[in-house]
Amino acid sequence: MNRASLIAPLILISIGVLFLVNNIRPDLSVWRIVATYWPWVLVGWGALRIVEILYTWQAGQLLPKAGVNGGEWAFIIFLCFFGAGASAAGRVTNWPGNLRVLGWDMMGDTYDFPLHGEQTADGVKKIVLENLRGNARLVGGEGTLVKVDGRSMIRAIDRQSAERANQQAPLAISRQGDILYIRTSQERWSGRERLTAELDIAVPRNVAIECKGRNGDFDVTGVTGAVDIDSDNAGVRLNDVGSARIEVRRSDIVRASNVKGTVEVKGRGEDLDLENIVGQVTVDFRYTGDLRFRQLAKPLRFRSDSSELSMERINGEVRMSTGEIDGDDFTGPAKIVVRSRSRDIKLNNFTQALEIELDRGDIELAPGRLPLSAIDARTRSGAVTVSMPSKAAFQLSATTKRGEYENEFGAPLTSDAQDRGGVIKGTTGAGPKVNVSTERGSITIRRSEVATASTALMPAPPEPPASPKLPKPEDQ
Amino acid sequence: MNHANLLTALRGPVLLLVLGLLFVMDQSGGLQFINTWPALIIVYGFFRLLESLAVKNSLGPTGGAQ
Repeated sequence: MNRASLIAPLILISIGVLFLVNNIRPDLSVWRIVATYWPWVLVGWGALRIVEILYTWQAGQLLPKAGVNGGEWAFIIFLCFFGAGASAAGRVTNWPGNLRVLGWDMMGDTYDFPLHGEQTADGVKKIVLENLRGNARLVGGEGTLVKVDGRSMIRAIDRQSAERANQQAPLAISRQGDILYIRTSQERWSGRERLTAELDIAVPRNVAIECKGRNGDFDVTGVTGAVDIDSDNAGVRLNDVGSARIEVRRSDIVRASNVKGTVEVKGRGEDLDLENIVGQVTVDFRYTGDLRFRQLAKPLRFRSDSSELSMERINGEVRMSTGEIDGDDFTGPAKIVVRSRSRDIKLNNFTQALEIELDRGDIELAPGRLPLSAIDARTRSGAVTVSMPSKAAFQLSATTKRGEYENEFGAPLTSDAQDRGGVIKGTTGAGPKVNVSTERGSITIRRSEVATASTALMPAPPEPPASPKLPKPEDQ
Repeated sequence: MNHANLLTALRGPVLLLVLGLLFVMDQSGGLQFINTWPALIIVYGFFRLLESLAVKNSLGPTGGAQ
């Protein structure tokens, strides 16, 4: 080409102008304009180059071999990816922090609109709340009035578009038979504006509650009916409710306390905290944080992608994290199975049979209570430590295929070398079988004292004595 | 004048222009680029076709003189 193209200098100039304008007039939302109109750069570039080539041809000069060379194509492809990404980010309106990409969120603002509504709920058995985005708090109380107070927060470029969105998505309370629906109607608005509702709802005490949402927390207190929560992304807090069924796809916390009936939790999330549950607890939950179970009067059935746990009753506490399972003061028959993950298991003060199957991780058991029940604990790789009450009757067999073995309990238990590991075994009387084994790792059998028939004082870990009034009936 | 060379030179810019237009349509909420991209192949093929025809023509009557 005889003449240098105009394209490169023009692009440089425009980039400079864009940054300059962005710095001088931050209110102009330059990046938003770029994200919307960037394809015109390609169109302009192509058109300009066509004109240049035709001009060259007209002038009878030598034509370039390729109208757009390799380096330019690389730049164009980069531009396409960048542009498509930026405009996609601008288009998605319901992820948190939306429009914050490249900082053009500065342009938008949040506008608040009050939400208010009330309706008598005589004879209503169930209240269904549909709030796609936003937090809701439901509190049961005396009376038969359902009262909703709150605000709708609308993220928009200007007040006008926020008002338009608000008109399209009013708070609606409607009744069908004995079901009362409360809807924020956010799904009716399909524009770019992002609607979030913050609701405070007073409900009669004796109703069932059903909440549906996509993103936002649910907080329910003081109702005697069943509570059913279904959300994609929610923190759930329930206190003093009849029963609970919770399904979340992603959650930072699920907490339920003082539940009179059953609790069922399904989904994925970080933390789970259940306390004082009268009914059976069924949990199918993939977790990344901590799980805490306290005072469960009826059986617990827990399942996640890699582990299973079941217990008949928990008077004390069972905690699970991604690395450990700690249990204190619970009743079996209990079973813990962990596959393909590593967990250290530490259990104290339990009664009834116990079974543990572990791939990797240490096991530390201190039954602490008399009478003992059968224990069967196996790990493929990890140390096993068992503290047996000195006065208990049991038949013990502890094996390591490869590792050290130590009999701190003393007589009548005996230890023998076997292959590259060893066996500790013996009988202290006619009692249950205690079998523990590891394929790789040390085995230690300790002696512990039992203060009373039901309370143990652990010698090794400096823990406080267990609750003195142990066989207390669960508070109803 | 050699039309074949002109077509070769124009091929890139025209493709670029079409690419830009496809993204404009995508942006304006019309057809999505993910559906319309084959248009680029068609345009490219069309240009190759025209080029080969142009070469043939310039070879034909003038006896291959470039």
